[in-house]
Amino acid sequence: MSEVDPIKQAVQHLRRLPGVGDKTATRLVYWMLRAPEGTIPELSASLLRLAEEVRQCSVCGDLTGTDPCAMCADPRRDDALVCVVEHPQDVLAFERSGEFRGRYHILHGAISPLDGIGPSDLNLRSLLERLRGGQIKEVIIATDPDVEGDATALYIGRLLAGVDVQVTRLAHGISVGTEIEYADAVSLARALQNRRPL
Amino acid sequence: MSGIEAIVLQTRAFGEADRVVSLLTAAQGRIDAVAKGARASRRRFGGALEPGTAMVAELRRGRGALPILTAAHEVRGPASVRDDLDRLMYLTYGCEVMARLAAPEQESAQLFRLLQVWIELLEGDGPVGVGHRLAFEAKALTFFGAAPALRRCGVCGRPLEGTVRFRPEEGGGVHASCGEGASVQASELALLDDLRRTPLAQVHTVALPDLEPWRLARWIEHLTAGALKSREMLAQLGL
Repeated sequence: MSEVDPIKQAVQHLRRLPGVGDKTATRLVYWMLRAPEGTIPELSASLLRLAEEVRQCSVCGDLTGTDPCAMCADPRRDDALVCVVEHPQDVLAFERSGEFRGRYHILHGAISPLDGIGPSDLNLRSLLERLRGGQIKEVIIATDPDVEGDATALYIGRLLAGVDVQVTRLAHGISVGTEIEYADAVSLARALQNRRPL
Repeated sequence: MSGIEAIVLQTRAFGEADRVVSLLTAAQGRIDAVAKGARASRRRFGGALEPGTAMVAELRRGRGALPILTAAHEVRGPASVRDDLDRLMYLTYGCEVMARLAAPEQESAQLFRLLQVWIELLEGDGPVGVGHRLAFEAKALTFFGAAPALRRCGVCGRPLEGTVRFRPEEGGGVHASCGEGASVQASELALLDDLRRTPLAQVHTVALPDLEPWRLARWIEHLTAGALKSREMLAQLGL
């Protein structure tokens, strides 16, 4: 028998999750203890499946339980367009927009010299391999509009300079719904730089 | 602590929602302050916490050890730098060097001005290269008060000539008879001294023969007891 109290142990583990403090972790544990029979084993089994089955897609790098992932295996998507994003969650954001029907490529981070993260730490080699196939006509770089995202976008732009593919980047500027009066100066400057004819 | 002119050096995550932002100021050196909610939402500070951004910072004492950055006014972020990978890397490197050298609560007007000039140079149309970086490093070390001996022996004070040694522990360049260290030509150290004395905007006028490109960066690392993280990326790009 373990000497550690199982309730305390579960609280300690849950506290490691983002956004979960002591109180929330305790509340979750007592909720699970009162939940219908089978809840805890089912939850445990699904967490175990995450650890055992989820891998990076060998094509795009997204986290998936099947390889290739459902997005890469979907024949209805446009092979000529690839959207390069920093994180798997970014794919979900694009899918919510409903505007993009191409493929994705996930870098799993961004170049951050101040954190010692360089190009070799990103999923870039497989992007070059995908481009060798010749089907991709445009690479849309959708990294975050911060210094790390800019550095990553510029690096990829340089990396692909010799490749026969159009490289574009998402437009930057003020958010939809923002009142200009309250827009920050940096975003406003970007919006001016990226203005387009009506 | 209201209305302090500052330049953002770097930020790091602080808890779930906040960031600690390192600011360089002229009067008070480096100030590390908590930017509440900066991780959870970009609405409050927008792009104001990006490295190299100049601002007038509003700070107040909090309950913790660090002051709270309550607002950033007159924000001026680097613009054209962010469209050029090399300049962007030089910008982050310059910010990291300053974050290392500028001490908290210590007047740092010269370092502050140097960073302003560095950013102006990077924002300009003129060329920027290894010589500029070396000049920046040499000036930063000088303003920090730890300029290496480049023309005279760090031990005996006599002029350096021919093949000499270079070692941080000995104060920079030394005669072979005065101390140990890596072999280096006195002419190379003299060139570094020329760069130190040349305004950044005029560095391109100084001819650069083969130089060991990281001699001064290693000096900064020795003084601050840790590797400059952005140096590896610069090296990869030949900067």
